[in-house]
Amino acid sequence: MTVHALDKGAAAGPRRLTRMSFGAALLFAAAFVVATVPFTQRAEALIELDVTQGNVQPLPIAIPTFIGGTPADAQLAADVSGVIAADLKRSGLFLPLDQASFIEKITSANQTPNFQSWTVIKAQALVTGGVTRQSDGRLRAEFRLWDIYAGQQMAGQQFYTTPENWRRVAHIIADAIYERLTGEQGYFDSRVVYVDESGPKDKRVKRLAIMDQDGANSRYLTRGNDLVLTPRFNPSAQEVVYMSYGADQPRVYLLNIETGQRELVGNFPGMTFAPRFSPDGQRIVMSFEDQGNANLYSMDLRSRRTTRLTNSASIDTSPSYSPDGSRIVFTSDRGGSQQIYVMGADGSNPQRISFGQGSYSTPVWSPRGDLIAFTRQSAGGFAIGVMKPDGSGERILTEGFHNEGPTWSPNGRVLMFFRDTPGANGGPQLWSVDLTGYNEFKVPTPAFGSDPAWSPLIN
Amino acid sequence: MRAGLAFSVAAHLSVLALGLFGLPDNKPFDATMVESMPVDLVPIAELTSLQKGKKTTEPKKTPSPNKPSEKEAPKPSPTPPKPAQPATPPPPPPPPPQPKSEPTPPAPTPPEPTPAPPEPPKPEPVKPAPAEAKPEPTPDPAPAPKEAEATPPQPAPKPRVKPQPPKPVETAEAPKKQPDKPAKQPSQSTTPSDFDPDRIAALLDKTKPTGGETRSQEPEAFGAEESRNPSATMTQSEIDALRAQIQRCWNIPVGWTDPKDVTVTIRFKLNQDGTVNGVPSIQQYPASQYGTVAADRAVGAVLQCGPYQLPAEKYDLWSEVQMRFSPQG
Repeated sequence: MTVHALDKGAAAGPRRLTRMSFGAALLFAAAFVVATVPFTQRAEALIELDVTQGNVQPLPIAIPTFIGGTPADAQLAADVSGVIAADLKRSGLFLPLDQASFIEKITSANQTPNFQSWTVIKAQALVTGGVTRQSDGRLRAEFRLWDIYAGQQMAGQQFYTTPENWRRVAHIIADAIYERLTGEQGYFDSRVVYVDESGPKDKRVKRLAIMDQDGANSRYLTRGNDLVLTPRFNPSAQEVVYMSYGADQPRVYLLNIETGQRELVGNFPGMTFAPRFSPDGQRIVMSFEDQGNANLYSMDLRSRRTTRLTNSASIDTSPSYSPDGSRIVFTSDRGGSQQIYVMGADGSNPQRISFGQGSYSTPVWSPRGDLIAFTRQSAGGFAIGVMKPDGSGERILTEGFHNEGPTWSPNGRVLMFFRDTPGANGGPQLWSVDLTGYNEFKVPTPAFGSDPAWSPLIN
Repeated sequence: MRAGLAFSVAAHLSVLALGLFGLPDNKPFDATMVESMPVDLVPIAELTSLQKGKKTTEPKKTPSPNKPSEKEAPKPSPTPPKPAQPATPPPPPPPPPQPKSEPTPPAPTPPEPTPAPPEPPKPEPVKPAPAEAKPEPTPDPAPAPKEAEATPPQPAPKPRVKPQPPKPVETAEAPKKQPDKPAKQPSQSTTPSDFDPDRIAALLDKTKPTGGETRSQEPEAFGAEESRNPSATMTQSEIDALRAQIQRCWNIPVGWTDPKDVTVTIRFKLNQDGTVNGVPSIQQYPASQYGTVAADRAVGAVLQCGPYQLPAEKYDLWSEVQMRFSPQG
């Protein structure tokens, strides 16, 4: 308006200006009224607002040392709370606070805490508990999870078990806390089977080994006479299927973890490898090499009947069932390079789902069913990534030297894989990474380790 | 040799000629003049917390130069009998940013030609009463209120007086911030009965024009006291400040893919010192696996970050808060 006036200057008659400015005045009046509308208050003086940003940080949690029922139990109780704190911290979602900063001293497992003193140190959750050896030899372990700000108990449980199982109890308690505070199923009470490698690089001794997911309780399942590869759990976590270079050629074997008994799976006239269980534990799917081609076969464990699933002049391997058992994802080079395909569990309608740069292999279907993890090899090196079962949403989580062989945690949130280190003294190591790509760390093993497989939750 | 030289000269000349006369014409580069626009920096609070005056209060009276008891008309409406009162003592001259001269433009009266020259810039302010309404101040919030003034630029005061002998004297005012004040009709002139045409000269302000004075020290004329502590509204920046205080403490659950799985609405009361009164109540939370956790985190965020800094005088506005926590992306 002003500018116009300047333009026109004295030439404009007063009437014209009057009309124009009147119109403008009305316009401004309307705009002004509209602008103030959002600020008007409702009669009951309630403010409404949206919060859309926050922080995504590990949740500060206070875990004071568990109390032993008797002085003799004090050490065991401290060990239990130590394992719980370590599990939660390793998940990357929790931050156990330093006990030196605690104000209140918890002296009894049943004590109601003074919540004020815990809010002061900025904890958002508190875990108290105790461990007592009973007179009948059993171990009783209990815990309570407190909501400090609301001043009430969020969860609490009591367990009875044998004293040797104290680590499992700690993992189960950690799972309960994890579930209550994140809404996700836990994964701490599980085990990992892998190939332990020791010795010089040109004369490696490979043995099947099994350990808790935090690296504890590691022991060997085979003696190391034969080369072993790709061990996989069955759904009950009681048996392991794997490939071994036995007497004449590579074969798939089934091993019972408790008894150590071993049996040959299927009487194939040729090499079989890359075995995996179906989600119901009734079938094993594997790859069978025949005249230069490798095709997928499934074998029913009760009837011992085998069914051919693929029939192509290519190498089909690395099969993995979807959690509902209806589909199988596998690697095939029928298109010229190694790519990932999804087909029905009966072998019907294979479809390629990987279309990025490079070749794709070792696909594994997440226990949640929403993602498939894979190894991608391109000019840039090796990478571990995930994609949706239709092939979209491909996301690389980590890259490194010879990254390979991902396996999912039971809740589908964490991946374990192995990574080689170059050099004469180098060797494969187990690594873990969160689904978000964060919290990457090395999993401790006695010697080198490769080909990890994560069990379901043990129950 | 000769032929070559001749040919070369001819070729050169032809090229020169072509360059000079043969190329297509270009239009000369035209630099357009751009008008400069005066800009006023206005703090947002002035727009978001504008206060209302009250129509029912008594107008504040300021003494006239001649008779201290005389009441002054609120505003010299820009009617024909335009106040010649260029400068009456109380009415402050327009603020510097407003070189507008007052009564001039609208005056269809004789004085017009005179005022015209000094008025080129802003005829605006001086509109006839209806247009004088609030809206005008909006674009020019700060100077606006003043402008309603019948304060012409210092230069042309005197000449204007002369052409209007029989006019009722209206001492121009410029009530200060009240945008609606200006629109007063001449009939509002306060004391017509006191007017003595023979003593116009006595009413003229003999003080030297000061120029540059921005606002009077008098309190606002209409309802200003009441409107100084209004229960008006919360400004946007105050709401944002509350939001920022809570955001610090909101630990968003992980693992969700759809924001609807973790969207929670809670309601809580606040005490006057900003602490939370009681425990927030959950109005609505999702039925997903993350529902309980999301509700816990939202309540925890509210309880953890208190006490909240909010304007104490607006307590009745923020005593109860309803908050919806919904992570983006």
